[in-house]
Amino acid sequence: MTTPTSVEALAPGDHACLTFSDGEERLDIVAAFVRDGLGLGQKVVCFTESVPPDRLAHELTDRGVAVDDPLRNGQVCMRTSDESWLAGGSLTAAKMIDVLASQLDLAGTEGYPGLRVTADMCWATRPVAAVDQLVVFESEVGRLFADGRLTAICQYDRESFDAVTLAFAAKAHNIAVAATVYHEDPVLRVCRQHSPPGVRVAGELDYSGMDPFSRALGEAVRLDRTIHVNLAHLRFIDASAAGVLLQVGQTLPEERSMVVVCRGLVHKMLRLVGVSDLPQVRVVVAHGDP
Amino acid sequence: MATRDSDHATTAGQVLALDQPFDQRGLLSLRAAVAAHASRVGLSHDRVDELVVIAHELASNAVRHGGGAGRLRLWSEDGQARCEVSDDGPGMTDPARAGLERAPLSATDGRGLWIVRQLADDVEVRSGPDGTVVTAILTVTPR
Repeated sequence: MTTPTSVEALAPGDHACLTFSDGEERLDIVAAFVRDGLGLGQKVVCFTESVPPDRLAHELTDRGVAVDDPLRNGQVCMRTSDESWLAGGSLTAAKMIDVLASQLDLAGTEGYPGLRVTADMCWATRPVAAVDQLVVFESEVGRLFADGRLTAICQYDRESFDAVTLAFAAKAHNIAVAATVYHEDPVLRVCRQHSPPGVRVAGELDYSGMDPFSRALGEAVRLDRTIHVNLAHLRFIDASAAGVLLQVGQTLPEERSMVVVCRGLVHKMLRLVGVSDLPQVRVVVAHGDP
Repeated sequence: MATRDSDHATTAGQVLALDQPFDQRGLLSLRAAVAAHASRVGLSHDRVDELVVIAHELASNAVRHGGGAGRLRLWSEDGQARCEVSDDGPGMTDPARAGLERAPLSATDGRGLWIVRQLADDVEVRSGPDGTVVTAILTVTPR
């Protein structure tokens, strides 16, 4: 398998593997995948497990993907594994492939040019399921992708699966998908946010992290018309790092804008250095638990 | 007030909460130490967050402009939390005016002391060719 690609770069017929340890990042990538599918007029089926269907709809909406209408008119469907893979009790690889094949047929009958599938695989670790059947499934499902109508992201939580299964899963997929990470250590993580597009920073950001922060913002300025800077999980920012945001914010042309989501102390710092006063910048306070 | 021996900062009426040297690599643990010990000087949760910012900004000034290292002491005295950061750097050009005005939006840096002045109730700056000592004072509201 090659180096991970960005979710936007997935092509029809790709069977992608997303191994994640950060739930936010998983939802970010799933949201971008669903958004791009809807943009192409494709049908989207989300097999979800750790995030229940109604919450998944909410999470996608929060990330700027309007799923309410597509959910009503059937372009987007959300199913738990009990309603799909595990319906009827026993699970076999053949049954899983049947489920997918019938979804693909249905999408065709309904007139969609293609089908996008997101699948949270964590059900496979439940006692009723069998990881060995998952392994057979991932190996044999390849034929469904052959004509390019099906594109899928299988999500593997690194916390839930053993290393051997993860390594196998990685090999069974033709491509891996991951967020672009500009910096990662135990204190600070700076990565690209795919939906809504921009930058996500978590942990503690001081002047020592200014370089990756600047690079991430610079890339967002080049790529995105409206830049979303997600600092909801940032616990600390110092004056220098806040100054970087100030620089980028004020050099944006009038017709561009930046939306910064933050909370607590970070919000206070952005107000103090003047980020909140910039006409191109909207600072939004995140609610709920970080 | 009794004079304070540099190694034994406490006298009657003072409670020393933290005395920690730092350098560039030590700023993260300095922030954690300030957060962990701030309750001993009687600050509320919100003000502990602000004290962490104050300590970091003063310490990063010492690291970046004041010779690369310094020492932070945090103690309570007469209903005040006092956070003192000292370094052996070359000193400030105009200590009396440092951080009194917000840096222009276009400035890439130079906001640290201004932030400290916004968050603290009072700031004392002593600076000369042998180094700088900045003390941020936060009034402790009786609980």
